[in-house]
Amino acid sequence: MKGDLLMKELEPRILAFLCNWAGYAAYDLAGTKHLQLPPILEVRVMCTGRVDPLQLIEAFLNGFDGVMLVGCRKGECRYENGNYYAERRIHWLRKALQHIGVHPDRLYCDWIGADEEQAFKGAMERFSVKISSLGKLGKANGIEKEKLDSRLKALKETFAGERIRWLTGKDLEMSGRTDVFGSPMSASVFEKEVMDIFRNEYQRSSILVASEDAARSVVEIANITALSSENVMQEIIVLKRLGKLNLEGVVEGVPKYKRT
Amino acid sequence: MNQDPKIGVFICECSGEIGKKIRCADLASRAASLEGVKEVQMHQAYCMPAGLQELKKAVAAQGLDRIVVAGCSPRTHEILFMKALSEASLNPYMLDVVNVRDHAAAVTPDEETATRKASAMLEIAVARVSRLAPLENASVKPDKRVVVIGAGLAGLSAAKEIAGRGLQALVVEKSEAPGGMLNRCYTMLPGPHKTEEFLAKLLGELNRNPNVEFLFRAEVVSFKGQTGAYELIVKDPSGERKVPAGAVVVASGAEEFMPNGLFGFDGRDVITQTALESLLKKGLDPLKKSVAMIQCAGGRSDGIPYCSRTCCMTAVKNALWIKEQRPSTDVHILFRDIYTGGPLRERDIRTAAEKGIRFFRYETDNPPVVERQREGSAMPPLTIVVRDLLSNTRKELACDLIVLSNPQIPSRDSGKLAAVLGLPLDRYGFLIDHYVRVKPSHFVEKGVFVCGDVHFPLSPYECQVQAYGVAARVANLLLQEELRGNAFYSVVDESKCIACGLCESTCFYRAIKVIQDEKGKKARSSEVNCLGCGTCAAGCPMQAISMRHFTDEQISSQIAAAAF
Repeated sequence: MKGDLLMKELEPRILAFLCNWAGYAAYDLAGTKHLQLPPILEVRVMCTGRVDPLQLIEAFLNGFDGVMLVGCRKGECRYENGNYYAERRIHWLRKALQHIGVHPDRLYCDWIGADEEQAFKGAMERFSVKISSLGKLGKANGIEKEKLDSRLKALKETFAGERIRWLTGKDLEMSGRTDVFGSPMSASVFEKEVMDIFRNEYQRSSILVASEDAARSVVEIANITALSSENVMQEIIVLKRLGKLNLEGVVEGVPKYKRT
Repeated sequence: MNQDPKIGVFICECSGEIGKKIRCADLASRAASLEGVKEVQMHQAYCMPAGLQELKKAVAAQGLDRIVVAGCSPRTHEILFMKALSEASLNPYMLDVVNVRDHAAAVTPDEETATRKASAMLEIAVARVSRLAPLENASVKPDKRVVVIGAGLAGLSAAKEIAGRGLQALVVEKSEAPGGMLNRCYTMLPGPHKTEEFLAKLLGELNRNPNVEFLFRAEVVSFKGQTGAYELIVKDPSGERKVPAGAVVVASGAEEFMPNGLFGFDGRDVITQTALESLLKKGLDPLKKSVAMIQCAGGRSDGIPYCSRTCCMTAVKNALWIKEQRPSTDVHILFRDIYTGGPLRERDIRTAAEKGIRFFRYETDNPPVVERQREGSAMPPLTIVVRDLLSNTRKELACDLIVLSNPQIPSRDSGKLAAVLGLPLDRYGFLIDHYVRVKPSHFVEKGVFVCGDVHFPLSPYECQVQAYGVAARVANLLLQEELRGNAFYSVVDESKCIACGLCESTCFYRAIKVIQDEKGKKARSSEVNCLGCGTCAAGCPMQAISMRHFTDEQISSQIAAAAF
């Protein structure tokens, strides 16, 4: 066994989710034509619509510096609308990544036909260059690995929560709809609402993640999550009521909370 | 993860395509070190009979329960290895094919990168394959009953053909009697056949056929299940009944547009074409010496922008009938554009002109004006003033009867029906089939078909042709022993499902729906109809849906295996 094979030193560190009918097929065709491509690792799915935001966050948690998603061209989805859902999920996740200090361009989606191997090559090369220029995840903008990981964990929790999943899932349907007075739902208003809810959910998730490994006081949690103590206290009350957080005990007159 | 997977890894050198670019021996030793891998072999070409033989032999000798083939594209070769696995008495889905040829060997500049990439791909595949579960294709034994909605010409014709193929047809009609639009017509296109006689003959045939059953004053109130095994609830005066069915044919017809406020329409001496038909049935009043027909009365306007297609034919047919029955009657036809559709009827316009029926062409912006004489006047009661484009003169036509050729519009109930069955409507409210070219008269829902005027306005001949076509499609579907679907379909964990309905709105194929039944209100997947994209699984707020063969666990394991 060669030791260097274990290290898998492939640069750049990108994971691609490819749909069977377009992204993967274009990759096959690129291979048949012996085009030169950056050594990006892939996960094959039947449709980009299968890709859950949680899986994209997992990829970042697993040390990838960039994640890309390639599906059928718009209107040509094998399953009619999977790529539209994927696109919206990417849209919201990019916004969320920005919120936690990860460059949104680290997440990229493209819609390429099965016969467009040159476009596929172009997309892979552009994204590789982009990720190389952005540098290593976390290091590049001076966030410690542990801090980044706990942020990503909190983000994963947020996107596992039913509120965010429901809103982002309803997005496509809502954006075409009118309100009771017949005026169309404004995209910016909807976006603002979703992001407000997202920030709120993310606060809660980060408090839960901060109190996961040890019982912590309000001030400690506030320090870890960079939230104000008042804010943390308010959320702790809500989380206690939801049964997600417990008062573990009082140490030297300071109450300590731990995730259930 | 399976407790004790026995994975076989087969590295294909692809006659040098892979072998010359990747250090296959290194790859093999790397694979052998991975968890769960029991056997690693290499061969020049696993896709060749000798290679497949080797593979099958290894599966049997080592007692392997799942395999990874590192070779070329699963898009082309998966099926071959699936077959080999079946022959080796393994479930064909216990397999992952990794395309190290096109995605590693062919596209990387050097041996080192190619080998590293192939190794990483292999690791990802081994992680995935150790979490695979044996799968069977979804299958349904189709029910031989068909529900036909609507007992008009299309519905009756479809029922006749369906019953003729040995299937059972239940015709659900909302009114008290069969016939639909046929009841309102005296003669029938093409040619002056008596509708009554035609209908009596058709109904006679249907009544003699034990495979046809009728329900009148009935409507479909609920619809669930999957292709080949639907369950409908039909409500009629005797109550609600459950009707199992293999397929549904929608032939609920269209409605007549009432031209209220147009051209002095009053239902007495300004009437519609169908009202004229009933007058003709009684015998036209001999005092009506002059009849004028106005085409596009409501059609091709802002409100009804489409052409109703059959009104020109009907007008010419009725004009010819009047002229033949009583040659002394003056008949005028005022049109914008006239087209009687198809080589058989095209000559009717010429025949009509030869018989003395006069044609006037009016402009859209300058429609004919109907003036009414004072009561007691010796003149005919009505006068039409029109600017005729054919002679470029202003005409005044005195007439006793004006017939408006009014268009057909979607029936008021078709929206309701579409909602119950979950079918799409076009912008006018007609039912629209999804793949017009590939699968005419089909919907996305595989067991639901459409024919007749509910689709768009059709002549009787076209109605019948559509109905016969649909009947053939129904027979193709239901006369099969079993309907087979994908092996990977969505599965709902009912303990987690909160019946929010997000999956239902996501699924274009209506393969997952929220259904209320004895066990409560839950999302249920129609296994046979599911195409396996997984969009519902990725969006479920409660993460209650899993996609077989592409489960969260499998994908997560791939991501973890790819980790640096």
